[in-house]
Amino acid sequence: EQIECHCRTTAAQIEYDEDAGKPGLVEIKGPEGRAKIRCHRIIVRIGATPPREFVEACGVVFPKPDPASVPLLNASYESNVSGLYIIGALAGYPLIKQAMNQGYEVVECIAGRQIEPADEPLLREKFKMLPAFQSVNAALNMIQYNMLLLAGLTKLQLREFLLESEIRMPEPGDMIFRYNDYTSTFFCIISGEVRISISRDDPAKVVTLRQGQFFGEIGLISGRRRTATVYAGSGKQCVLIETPRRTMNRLINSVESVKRIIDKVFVLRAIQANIAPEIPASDLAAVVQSASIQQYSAGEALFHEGDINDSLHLVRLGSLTVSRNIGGNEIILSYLAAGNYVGEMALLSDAPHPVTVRAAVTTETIRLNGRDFKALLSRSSALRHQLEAKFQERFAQHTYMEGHPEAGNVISFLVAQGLGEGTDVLLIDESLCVRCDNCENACAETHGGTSRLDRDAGPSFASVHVPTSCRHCEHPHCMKDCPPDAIHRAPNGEVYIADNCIGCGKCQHNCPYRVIQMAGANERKPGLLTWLLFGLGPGPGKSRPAHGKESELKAVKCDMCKDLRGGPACVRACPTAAASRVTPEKFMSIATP
Amino acid sequence: MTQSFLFHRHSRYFKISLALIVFTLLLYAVHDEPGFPNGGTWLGYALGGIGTALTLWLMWFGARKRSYHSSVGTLHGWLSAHVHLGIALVFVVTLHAGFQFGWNIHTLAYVLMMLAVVSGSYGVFAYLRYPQLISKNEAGVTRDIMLREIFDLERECLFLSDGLHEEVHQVLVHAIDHTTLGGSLWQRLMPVETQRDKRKTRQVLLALKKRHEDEPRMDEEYDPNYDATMFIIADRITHTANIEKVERMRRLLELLGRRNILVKRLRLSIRYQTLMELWLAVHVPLSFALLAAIIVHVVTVFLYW
Repeated sequence: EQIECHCRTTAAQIEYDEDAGKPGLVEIKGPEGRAKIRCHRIIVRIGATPPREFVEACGVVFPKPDPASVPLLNASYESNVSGLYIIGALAGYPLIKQAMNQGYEVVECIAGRQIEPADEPLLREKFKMLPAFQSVNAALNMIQYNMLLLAGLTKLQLREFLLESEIRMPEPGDMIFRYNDYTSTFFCIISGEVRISISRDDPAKVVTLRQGQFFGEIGLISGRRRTATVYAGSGKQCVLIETPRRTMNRLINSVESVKRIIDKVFVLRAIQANIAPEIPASDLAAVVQSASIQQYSAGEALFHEGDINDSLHLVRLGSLTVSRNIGGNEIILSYLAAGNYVGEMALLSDAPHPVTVRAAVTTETIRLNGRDFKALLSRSSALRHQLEAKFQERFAQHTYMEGHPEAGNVISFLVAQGLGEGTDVLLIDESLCVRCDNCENACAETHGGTSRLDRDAGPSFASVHVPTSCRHCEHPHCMKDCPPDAIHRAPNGEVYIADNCIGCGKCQHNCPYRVIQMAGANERKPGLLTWLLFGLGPGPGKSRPAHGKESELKAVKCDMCKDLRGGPACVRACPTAAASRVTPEKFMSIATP
Repeated sequence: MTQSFLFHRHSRYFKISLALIVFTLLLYAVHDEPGFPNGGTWLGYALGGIGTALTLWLMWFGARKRSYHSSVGTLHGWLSAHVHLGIALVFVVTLHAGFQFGWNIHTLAYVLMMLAVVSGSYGVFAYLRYPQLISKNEAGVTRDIMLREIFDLERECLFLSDGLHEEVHQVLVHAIDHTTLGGSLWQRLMPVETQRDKRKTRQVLLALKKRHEDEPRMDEEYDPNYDATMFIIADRITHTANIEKVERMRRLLELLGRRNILVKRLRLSIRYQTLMELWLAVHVPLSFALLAAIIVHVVTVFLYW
């Protein structure tokens, strides 16, 4: 008897036969489609979802109908029912350490002894550097008073949030982060101000953010780099709360008001940065108000050619392909990465969409209401000119691509290989590659004898060859499930596997592109000259596994030669310049040489 | 997709090389000393020094290619410089010699240099021409996969031939055993059956003809391009009554045909690869011979001057 596993699936529908003993039907939905499975019994793991009906029957009030929401509690974990205290997973704190501390506090509270919460000394340590610090409670009140964003949190949520954050007090002019950094923390301005340099060419163009505002929200979206350089302002002492991405995302998902505020500000800033930098926020109010965030899975269409247009989409995350049906085939005309917008063609001319736009990978867009946006256009001639210029540029590009369908096919090919989700991809031009394997030798020689690149393997299309080599994905599949948390993203974007890898092979299993291999250490070999003159050793590019260590395997993959001067060895070692590394933004230039 | 190494950095090394050539020609033109131009004049010495230094730097390319940690330029930049300055070397050395040639070690050095540059030029031509031919021939199927597919097909053919006439099995085994892939240089460049194989096949065909002497439809001449094995098996079909066996033989022919096409493709791929790499086996030893000749040339010139 075998057990069949259907991974990455969800239950779409359950048909249960009233007659006990007859099998029911479960319809599962997965990446490969749907399937109906007969079964006698369905066992569901509900995890830490609280048995709400029972708790409500005790008289406890839940603030939201959402089944995952937690009951209202005061600072001593007491519910609205006097004498009924709720701690641990039921209160939204699933960790054992939290439940233990909370249990202790509650027992002491019931016994009439008001004790310091377990996190008090930790918070005191954090807050004592604040100007005019008196007590943890006073500091908490000050923070909630100054930050509208955090006003909707309960004291417990606030403490939890701050425990995982850091207080920063930079000197005037200190750089907080730089444009294109891969850091992803979120910043709240408790006091003072910061200056954001919005134009790389003109350092005088700055936006000032003050106490009560926040920045760094782009980092909440995985894989995005910083879009500007931020400096601490002068004047009052700048005090910031720096929160890691994971903590911030958790907060957004549990407190409605936080999500609402961040989304609104995000939309406003995205519009200002990508569409209308000159227009003041007040003019954009109507557009921001009616904006919504849309999600699309890979291949899903935002709109089809011929559809009536009613919106403009600004890509927040992911990428799009623009195509048109020509002679029965869908020819790709353009590839647009995050930060671009689509739909302007139809808005400017009131005609239906001239193209079909699809998500190339899982994509999120900010959808702006067409009517409100048109109203904005009629008020701002500068914006209209900018859009018209973009329209003309794209029209010319599309016309070229229509005349060269091979170019569109190259982009189709690249997207089909999943390169759209990579951040740095190795491509080989087959019309220049002399198959000398020097790239593989270089990779092996600079990485202890094991090449992380397989030049020959991998598909080709119209002179573009995609060798088997890590693409350093925006959302690395390997990172998702690493037990010792050994896979990280370096400041320059390289995804690398650190030394604490235990060789479990989960990353290799999770990677859909099979770029990770399990390899052991190799024996030290004699140098090049020794090999050349005396024939000793295996020579450049080849290695023998170290004796006795054949079974100690660890995961290895391309790390973009992050520790080497000069960058990726494979590109440097190619004699005919056939090997090159590209980012998805460059797909258009690859397809149209 | 990317720019070829020849035009690296807007053909920077082509321009440098051209400048060197023009400069050398100008100097040669204005140089005016009694006697024929030769390597002993100040210009001769200067050009000789430049030529030697250039030769040593050109040979250093082999070391740079294998210095994988080096970040002194990129390898394609080095190759671009190597090719363009290698051409310039011809001019420098010819003008250094002042067109004075004879049957001596000095002219030998010159000849070796010319041979090295010519073989290198063939290399440039090969690097520009063959990659596209190889890609078109392989059509995305790597050599490994082709080889594995050939083995799989051969195995299936042998399995199918099991229940058939002994002759079919024999010719099949013979064909498979005598198919060479790769091998010696000659086999890689000219991958056809050896004369011995052709003779053997011709013998089998003649024996076959003898058996069916009264049937006039057999071809008199044996065409070496015609796949004898397939012909023999096809011939068998016409002499078999059993439907099952005929079906088997038809399927066998289909698989054999696919296998033969793959063999041809693989051989072509190997042939292209060999033609693309062959010149290096000449270019590198020549350069070392050149180095030796230069040393002798310089030493004797100074000893006997």
